[in-house]
Amino acid sequence: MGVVVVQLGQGGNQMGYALFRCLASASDSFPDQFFRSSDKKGKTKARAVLIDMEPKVIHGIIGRAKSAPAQNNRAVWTYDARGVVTGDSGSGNNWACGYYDHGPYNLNSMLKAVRTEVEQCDVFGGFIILQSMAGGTGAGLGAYLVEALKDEFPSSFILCYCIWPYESGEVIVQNYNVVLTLSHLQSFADGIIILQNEQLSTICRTLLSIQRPSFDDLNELAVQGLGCILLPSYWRAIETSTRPVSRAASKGGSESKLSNENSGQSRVRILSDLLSSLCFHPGYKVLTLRFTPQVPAQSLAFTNFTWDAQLKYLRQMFITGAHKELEMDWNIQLPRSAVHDNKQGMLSPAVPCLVNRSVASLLILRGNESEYVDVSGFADDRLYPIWQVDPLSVASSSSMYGRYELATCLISNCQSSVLPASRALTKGYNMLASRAYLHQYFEHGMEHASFDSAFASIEDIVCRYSTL
Amino acid sequence: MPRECITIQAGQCGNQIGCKFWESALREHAAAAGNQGAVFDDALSSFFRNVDTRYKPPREIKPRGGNTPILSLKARAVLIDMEEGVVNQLLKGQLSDLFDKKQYITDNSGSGNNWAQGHEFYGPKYSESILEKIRHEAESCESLQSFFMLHSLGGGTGSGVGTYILELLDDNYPKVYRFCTSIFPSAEDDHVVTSPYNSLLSTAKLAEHADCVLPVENQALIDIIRKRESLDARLEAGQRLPSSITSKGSKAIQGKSFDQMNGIAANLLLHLTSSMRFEGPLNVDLNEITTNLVPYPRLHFLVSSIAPLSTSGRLVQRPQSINQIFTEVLSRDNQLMKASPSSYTYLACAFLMRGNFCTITDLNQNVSRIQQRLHMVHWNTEGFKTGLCHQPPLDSPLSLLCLANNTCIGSRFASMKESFSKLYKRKVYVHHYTEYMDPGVFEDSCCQVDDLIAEYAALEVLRPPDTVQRLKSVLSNI
Repeated sequence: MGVVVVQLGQGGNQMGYALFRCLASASDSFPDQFFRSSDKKGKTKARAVLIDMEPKVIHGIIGRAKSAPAQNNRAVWTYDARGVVTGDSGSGNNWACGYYDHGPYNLNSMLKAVRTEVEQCDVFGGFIILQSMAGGTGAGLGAYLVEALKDEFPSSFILCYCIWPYESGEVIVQNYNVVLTLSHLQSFADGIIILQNEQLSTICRTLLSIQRPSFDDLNELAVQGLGCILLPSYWRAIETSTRPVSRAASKGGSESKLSNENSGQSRVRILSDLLSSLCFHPGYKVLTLRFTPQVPAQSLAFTNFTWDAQLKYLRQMFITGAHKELEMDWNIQLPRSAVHDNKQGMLSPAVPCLVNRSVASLLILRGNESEYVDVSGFADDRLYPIWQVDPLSVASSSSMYGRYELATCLISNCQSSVLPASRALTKGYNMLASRAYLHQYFEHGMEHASFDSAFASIEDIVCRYSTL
Repeated sequence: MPRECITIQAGQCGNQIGCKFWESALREHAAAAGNQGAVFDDALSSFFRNVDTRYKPPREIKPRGGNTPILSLKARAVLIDMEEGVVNQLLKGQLSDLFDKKQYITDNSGSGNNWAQGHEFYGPKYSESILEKIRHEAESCESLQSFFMLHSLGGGTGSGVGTYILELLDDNYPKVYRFCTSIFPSAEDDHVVTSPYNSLLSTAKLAEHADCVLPVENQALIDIIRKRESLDARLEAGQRLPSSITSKGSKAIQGKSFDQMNGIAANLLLHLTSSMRFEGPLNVDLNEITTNLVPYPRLHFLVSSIAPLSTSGRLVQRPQSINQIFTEVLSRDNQLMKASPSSYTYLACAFLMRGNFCTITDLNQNVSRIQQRLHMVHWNTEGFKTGLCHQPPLDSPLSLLCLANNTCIGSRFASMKESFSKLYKRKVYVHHYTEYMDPGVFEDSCCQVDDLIAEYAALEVLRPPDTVQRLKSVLSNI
């Protein structure tokens, strides 16, 4: 089954390259869902479409892919030249330029490249879109493309993996751009994972001993969690009995039909299972990722990893809405009783109790004995609304993930995902009230009403999550 | 597929700066090519054309796959002057091969430091010819992104013909960005008596027809050079020199100093376009600069400053840290304009860094540090745009260009208006202008500049409103 990755804009393309490198090196063979071998010379190609309105970045990463040294005695992988769509002039950080000008103009060539790649899949599993939300191409053109893809492939899944800009400002009009993009993705994508540049940078500096992280460092960290989800894994139950002698005793946790004949477990289908367990409600689509361990590369050999410790940190990160292992507030605990009062979450305007409440979560464990670890702490009733009867799905794989003996990744549809949107909204209103920069958008055919409806849509999203 | 820029040099000053710019650009690209030898790639193609002169007419060679050999480089430029001296000198000098016959227009008699003569007489006279030459350049571009206008505002040709060309470009190529590097006359050493008229009349046109203006003041350049010279002398002598050498008494500007001044202005252009010409992890195109730094259409005048500053292309003596460079770039001594942005309000600010060893984190950390020191307008407290290009400049391993949209420009325009009024009250020299144009043009331009000053002043005193109206979600009632 194949999944097509669409890399959009400078941020998306740089991340896409890091992602394919991660997927290629994390296991013994190239995962079939993300790579395919080209007929004539047997070269491995990534199932990717690269789109940018200026050519420099794409040429750069194609060059890097070609000249990369062979890993693990395998041939290198490359990008297929037919999947590249570039424009000339860039979008100038202008969302309206990306959406109203470049989008329609390049639609045919983009759809053609996408269709070519989709046709190469035996069974098509859906799209993963990599984009940044602050710029012009990733954000504006991305929003247009997601709409177009939903039109063209109405029954396919679309997961957007989006970079949220530094709050100290990367692009001055970023508050407008993120609001506009998120409102469009909310309508047309099936799931939206938000990754904050700020958090990546903090993790690099405080936990990974990289004092001055470059974009390469940030991208590598950014795709770690995503790679952990996308590699093969198998469903398991939340509570397992103590380590059984025969492996046939483990139960599958969902209704997936694909099975691995060796161990009797059913395999997680990328995108369809992921999205159906997390984003089953059209109003709740915004997800976050939390990954452990967060340890510098040079310390990996000297650190003793245990499941208990990893899961303890991960659970507290989940409860407090934090993203890094250190400096969490361990005082924040779940309330004694399971009072399902929707005024208790972190977004509550009344008295926020700072607990991060969720709609649903998916936990993936990789490493030895991951099938037997107890994860019932993540399924605690007090973290989820009363109408959620089956909040947690768990998958595992006994193989190592890259250099990590044990790795855990938690994707949750929770309140902390919309906190950055809420902040951007406030700043955006401020700018909108002064009518600053609006002429840049109107020049490309946008109207004030579009701004109003985008802001309204984000207000709705924030409101929904705050009532969890 | 590069984004090409066509440079238009108008008047004596414009052509001299242009000359310096082309020289430095060639050296930069040569340095970037390094030992492999230069090939005609996308980077070079943004400012140069590659032609095979064995054919008549010479055949264009496009960059293909980065291995195209360089045959004969021609600058993508149009040179205009109403006197022959400067352009002829350029064509006889080292850069003569860069330009061919179809790229320049000259006349004999000059514009007499008269904006009206430039704008109303020479402009229309040569408009067909100008458009023809620009069209010739534009046709050889695959995807033209912007026009760069180099001119001064104090004289006649640069200001008059220059602004006329700007209007032509606005009419004929509305989607192409128009960037102007305009040299404002200096208060001290100004030999041109009619310069207040010329500057004001030009400013009115720039506000209307340019997309972005980078004003450069002669006075600022002079001060930079004097300071630099005294600093260099002290460093070389290794001792403290008596203060008389560092006095600010006005000296006659010598030829060498003009060259250095032009060099600084050319540096501004090089840094501005470095992201388009070279690779970097965070590219900033010209259209991004306009989108981020121009919140209201007419407020597009940016105060620029560069650190470190070099005048004669010698290597900067002291190796500098990134933090130091950020602090330096905000000092008044590094600005190319005499103004005090720190006492006024910043509307938006861009930092474009060039250098090999700087990372995005360094940039962000410094921006957060600086954010607290600057007074930003309330709706844009995080209004910073950052860019990073890996190719360092010729004379230093690291350099930073800061472009600030700041309300101090309003006060600069106010003083320009004052000098204008002093002359206009008595209608001195006005008859030279009314020979070519309607006297109403003075009044109109005055009004326009007044409006501009008022807009900046309003933003200066703007206070955040008590409440901002927000849309209310229907779900909040559930």
